[in-house]
Amino acid sequence: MEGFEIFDDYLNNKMTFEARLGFEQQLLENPELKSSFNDYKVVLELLRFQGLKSDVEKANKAYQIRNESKFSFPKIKIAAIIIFGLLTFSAFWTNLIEGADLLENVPIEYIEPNQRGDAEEKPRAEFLYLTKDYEGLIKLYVSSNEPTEKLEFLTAMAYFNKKEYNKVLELIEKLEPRDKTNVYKNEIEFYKCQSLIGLNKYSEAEGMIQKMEYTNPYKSTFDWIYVTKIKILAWKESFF
Amino acid sequence: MTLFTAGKEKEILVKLKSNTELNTCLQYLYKEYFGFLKNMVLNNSGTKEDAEDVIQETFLAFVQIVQNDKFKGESSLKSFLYAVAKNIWLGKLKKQKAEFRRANIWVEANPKFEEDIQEQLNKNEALDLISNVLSTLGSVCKVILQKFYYEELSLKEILAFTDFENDQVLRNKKAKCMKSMTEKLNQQPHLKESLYKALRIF
Repeated sequence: MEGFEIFDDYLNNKMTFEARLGFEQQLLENPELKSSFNDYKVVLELLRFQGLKSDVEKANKAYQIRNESKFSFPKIKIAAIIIFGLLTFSAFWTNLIEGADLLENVPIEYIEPNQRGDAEEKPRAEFLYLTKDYEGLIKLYVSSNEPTEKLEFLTAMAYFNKKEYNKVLELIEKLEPRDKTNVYKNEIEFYKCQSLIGLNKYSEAEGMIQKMEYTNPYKSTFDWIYVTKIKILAWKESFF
Repeated sequence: MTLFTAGKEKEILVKLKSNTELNTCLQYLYKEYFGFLKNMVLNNSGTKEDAEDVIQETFLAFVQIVQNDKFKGESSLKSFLYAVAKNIWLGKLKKQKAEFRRANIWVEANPKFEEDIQEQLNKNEALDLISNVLSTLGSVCKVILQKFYYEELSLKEILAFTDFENDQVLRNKKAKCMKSMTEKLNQQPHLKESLYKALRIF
């Protein structure tokens, strides 16, 4: 076992009683080992400190953004103008806005992010997706015994392009529970919202946008006009 | 001893201690105490930017103190955070040699927890000084070490964030990264020594 792993096991209480005593004896007798162990503990402290510091910085940023948008006076004025505008043209908008407009207004692009998982299906699945062979991609997914996360995601995208939104949501439901390790988390949130719009479920889509964190780059896609349109459609949905 | 009883705050403390839902806890701290702590700094010659820095450092130290089981509920959360922020702000003012109206800062008659606060702040100061070691590390190493030691993910889980073929290769890379970190640490003997002292590692 590597030195660092022994240190990990010791600090995480994963050693047997005898092994623990043996290690402690070695620390007493071997100054070099003791010094490496101390350095190791310092590095752990440093990593935890940096991690926590970065989380606090993120929380601060998020709080400042929320606060600015909540209390900034010019924004309140802008909001008042928007509300006035909405009231004036509500009838006009209510009659004109359709869910399909919303899907057309947001460009649908598959963005290849860095450092994504590798698997045998990856090159093939990507090729099929990029050449718009959505049927081929779906077949590949159906025939795969253990589809990778990437294949599942690309298949969801294929269904999205085929406007089979229920299928997209089915696949997203499979991908969603892996929230912590899911590299497509941001895209999943975005396309879930888009699919809900495709299925005319505007209230749910609006809820999805609210739920999206500001760290998700897709959040900025939904500007105030977009959100207002969804709100109007959700309102219409509740009546009809 | 006055026991700390407010329901929501108790819940936050439990979560912080068990290191779960950190983000939710931080959001709560910001929502409840940002304005209060900001006023303390602003009323004592600080700027808005100073207040933001002090509050970030306050919450950072507070989370560490709770996780190290040093927050015993001897004061309310509000008083404790105030004491942490006060110590940080006084420290900064002394360093800046700026004029300040110390009388405006509430000072409790040397309560027990002040020692724990000061100890944590000394640790953080020493850690901050040497944190450039981490910034010189490659991005892949940073991701691996942070996810393993801070986020406490397993190697299998970390694999999804990297281009490595399997967890054995990742395990080797992790060992190399740790070695590189300790080497970099040893290149700064003075900072390392003060860090050892602050962390009480002998």
